[in-house]
Amino acid sequence: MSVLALEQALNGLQFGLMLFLLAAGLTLVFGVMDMINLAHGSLYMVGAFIGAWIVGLTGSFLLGIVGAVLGTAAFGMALESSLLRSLYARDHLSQVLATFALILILNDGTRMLFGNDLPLSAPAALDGPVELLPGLSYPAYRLVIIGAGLVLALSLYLLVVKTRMGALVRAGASNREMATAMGVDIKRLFTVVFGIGAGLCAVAGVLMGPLLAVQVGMGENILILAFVVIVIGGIGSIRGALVGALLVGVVDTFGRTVMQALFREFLPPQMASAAGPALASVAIYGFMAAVLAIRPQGLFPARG
Amino acid sequence: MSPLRRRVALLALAGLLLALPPAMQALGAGYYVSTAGKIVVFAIAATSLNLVLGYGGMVSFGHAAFFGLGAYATGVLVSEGVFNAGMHLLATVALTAFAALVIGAISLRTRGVYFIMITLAFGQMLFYVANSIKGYGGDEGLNIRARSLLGFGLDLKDAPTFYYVALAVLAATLLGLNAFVGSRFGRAIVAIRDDDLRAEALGFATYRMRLAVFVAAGAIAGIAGALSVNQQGYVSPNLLHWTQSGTLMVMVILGGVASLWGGVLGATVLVVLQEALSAYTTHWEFWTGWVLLAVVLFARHGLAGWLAGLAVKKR
Amino acid sequence: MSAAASTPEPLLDVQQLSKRFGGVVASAGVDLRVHAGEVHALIGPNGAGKTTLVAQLAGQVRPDRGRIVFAGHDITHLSPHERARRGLARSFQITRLFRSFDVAGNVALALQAAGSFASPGMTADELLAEIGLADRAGAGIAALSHGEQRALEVGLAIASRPRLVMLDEPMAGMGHDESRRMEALIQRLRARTTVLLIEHDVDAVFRLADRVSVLVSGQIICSGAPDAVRRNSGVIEAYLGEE
Repeated sequence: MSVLALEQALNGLQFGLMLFLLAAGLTLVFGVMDMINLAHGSLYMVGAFIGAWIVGLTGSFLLGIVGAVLGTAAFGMALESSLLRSLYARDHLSQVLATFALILILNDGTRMLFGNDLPLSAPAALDGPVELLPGLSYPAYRLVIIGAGLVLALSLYLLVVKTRMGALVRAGASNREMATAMGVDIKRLFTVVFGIGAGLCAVAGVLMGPLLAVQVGMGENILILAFVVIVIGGIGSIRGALVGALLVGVVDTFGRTVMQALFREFLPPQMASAAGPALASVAIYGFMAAVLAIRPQGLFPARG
Repeated sequence: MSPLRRRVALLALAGLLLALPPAMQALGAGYYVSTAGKIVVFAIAATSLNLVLGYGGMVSFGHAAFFGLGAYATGVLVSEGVFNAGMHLLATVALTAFAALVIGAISLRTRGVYFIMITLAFGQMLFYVANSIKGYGGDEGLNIRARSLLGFGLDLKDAPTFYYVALAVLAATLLGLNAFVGSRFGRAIVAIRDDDLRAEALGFATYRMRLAVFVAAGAIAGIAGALSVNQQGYVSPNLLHWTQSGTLMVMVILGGVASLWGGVLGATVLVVLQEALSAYTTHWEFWTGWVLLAVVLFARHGLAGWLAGLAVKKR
Repeated sequence: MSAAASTPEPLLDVQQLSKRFGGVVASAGVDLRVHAGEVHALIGPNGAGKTTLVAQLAGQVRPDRGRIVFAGHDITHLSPHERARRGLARSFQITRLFRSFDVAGNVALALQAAGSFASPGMTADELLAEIGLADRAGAGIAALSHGEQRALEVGLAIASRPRLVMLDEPMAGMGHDESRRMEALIQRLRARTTVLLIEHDVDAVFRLADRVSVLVSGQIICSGAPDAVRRNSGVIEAYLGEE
């Protein structure tokens, strides 16, 4: 039983770290530029498709990731400097409408270029399980995801906390007028921040592709979770995004598996199998509601 | 527009709307009557969202959940053998008003983006619940063979009949909204939207007033949902998904936030766009997206604002 | 009442109000007494905690400890709208007006709210005349000058004939002439209501106020007649660091 729990904990960690990659970019865009970007999930999809396409062409997973990151980051920055920039000054509702339109365009556009889905499998070298502890085998690929997630989380932390650019971003997140007054080239900063966010989405997209399937519309469901994460963690805070993502990842995984196992004990089978995912969602949203009730600014608010 | 001109315009519009089914059938385009019915249903839902979002200033991202709940309330009753339309109406309003009361009571304690998120969350919770009720279709949805029985020999399976019934509900909704906007309560709600702290400091019971509007809007959306299941003969959890809430929001913003006809305009344009484009290409989503983008960038107050601007320019 | 009756019960009695935000102590046991009919000024250097105190008196922020007693009732846990309904009104430091409505509309809204708990209320004409905006009734908010907006701000607060009105820096951002007009307005308010005036303009305060309380580092260090406060060494010291 405890082996199952450990396995689920690792799954939760893995999912949480990938969620973090999306949430980090989203919280920065929302925190620094005060923009609701519903199309953030679409960047995740674009990254997955570019990656899958490159892997299909070259057979190299590594090339796929690198290509996806570069391609999505470039695409994101182009999008930001052309279209999204004109939305910063607009109200949230207009941003919702515009980025919703963007989802439609990107979804169908991807469909036109690549079709409804692309195959993507984990590199053959990582196909087998790894024995972590006696009795506990865990898929090598998922371990790599966890590793990559941790490395990226650490790098992001160093970037935000230790570098000058990171300081500017943090200043921008907590007080935009102040940052502008201090002569920071806001426009370029925003573009770079957006590009980094897009790159992170691409990594998550390619890494999760073999597990969740690369298909049009894959961004919408995970986008909502990313928003939940940044609300729980505190808008504008990377640390909050990490903590929030890990919490959500664990709650989601446990909800689906452990809770479902429990329910199977007590409920008729056809109700139990569907109850799991529903419970996981209810648990996540309920958790968010509870956090909002106690600490409305989130766990680590960046803004004063 | 002078009052006389407005009255004439409304009469002309009413005439056109009433003549639509026979006209379409005469042209051999009877199919479009059911499209018109679909537009009317969405117009009601979008108008209810405009009440809460446009006039009330509450950006609810879970409004589709009330639409879906209404559809389920009626759909489940029909599949259980209860056909009376009065029962359907009662159950729909009771369920959606209650849900809106609970969700609103909790959500309205938050503000800004947190309110958006928490309404989104509640909407998703209801979506997942609907998804998991295996007994009523679960994620595959539920087919409804019969319809609400209105009496008077009215058969809702008949497209023109449905259209007229839905039109009547829309008219009632618009009349109600108009009366509300001109009333003291309506003015207070707009003031609360402008600055709720100020309104509260003046002595308005802002929380209670907003909650009342939220519940009313939810109930109206529920009625739209009940109509929808009568038209489609089908109810699915997708009706409650956040993307549906997003679509409703798009209709409101497109048509014009806080304008009486905003919901109607937005629903009409979006559905017509979808239908027209999908006749030519499977990629209607792509082109719809561009149209929406254009509206955001170039028509800041939605279509209602753009039209009003045109009317002014004509002078 | 006994022959040796001392000062009557204060209209507003603030007792040991305390509030801290994380590591910052905003209010450190504030004691304040405002008597009916007076113009009572609250002054203090920047960072003294005036904003937090006003927020607690208005009901926007819950104090950690302490009580607020208004007209004999404990209102510490009442919401802002409940306080308004009991006759405790306020104006805002940063102008808050209803921009979808014109001047007349704003006034009508204030009177509409007041109508449900205060009667007889003022009429719209009376109110507009009182704040000097009788000829600006049809103007949009954006068309008003800063001084006119601040006057309307005060007007909304007094529409319900409150027993006590808190004016939060009514003269903020005003030039000389506008300040004088606002001063005259506040003088006229004497006849109608008790005023708790929170202001930075110390000269105006000493012209207007019957009594003055000085807030420094979250505590009232001195409270009394203007002259006495002016000469208080603690007050002088607190303000020496200011200019």
